[in-house]
Amino acid sequence: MAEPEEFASTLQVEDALGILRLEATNGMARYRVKSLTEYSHCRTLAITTAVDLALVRAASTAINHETEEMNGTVEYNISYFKTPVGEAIVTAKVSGRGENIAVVEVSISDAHQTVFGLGRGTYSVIAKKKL
Amino acid sequence: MRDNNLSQYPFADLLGISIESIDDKKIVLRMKRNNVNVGGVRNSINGGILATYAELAAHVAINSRILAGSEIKQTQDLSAAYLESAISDFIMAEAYIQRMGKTATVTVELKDEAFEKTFCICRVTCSVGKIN
Repeated sequence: MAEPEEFASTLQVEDALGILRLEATNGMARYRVKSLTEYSHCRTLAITTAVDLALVRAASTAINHETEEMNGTVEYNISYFKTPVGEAIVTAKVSGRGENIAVVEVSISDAHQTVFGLGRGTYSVIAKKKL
Repeated sequence: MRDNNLSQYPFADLLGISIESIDDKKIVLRMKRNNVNVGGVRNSINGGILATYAELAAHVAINSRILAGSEIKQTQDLSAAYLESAISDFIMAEAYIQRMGKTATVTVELKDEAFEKTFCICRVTCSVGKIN
């Protein structure tokens, strides 16, 4: 698990955008995103943020915090192939780890577990500096 | 159809986003660093927020050129590549329309207020269709 002080600062992002972390462990993280049905075309805005949050959180559970530290998202992409209806569940899983990078696969589904989006990202990991 | 305010977009006020300029070549938005949008590594603007900001900028750009009777249906694809931590007080979004049609594609560059440092490069594709 990530050190608490590394991620306490995303709580205000989550609260503001209606994002709730459900779980994060063993290379996986899952978030719930409140629906934006009142908007006709911007329903994915909060999901876009949640994908990065999930990607980062999943990566944080897959590093050795004694010898490594989190260094930022390198890139990610999302494809939405259906229109989201209702709340979204974003699930991120670390699918590969290299010396300096974690590859994370993301799926986005609705409350009925119908997948309507997929994504993938890479996260940079660096060695902790020796004192 | 011109889009000169952000009231139709969720989170714009909350994230401190405003319109800087709109012309035929690009639209420029400005996001002020605040208590909501920070949360990235090294006290930078949160990476997910940057991608959301780019997505919103793309929607604004498309809506500034969309034909009467048409609307954005939804975002289809979004990609974000992070080059540097976004630590400036203002993050500028320059959105360039690459293609308009049933699929509209916009590239968005997120920079510091001097437009000297590029933090993130994004590409957003949206489906466009007739208003129901």
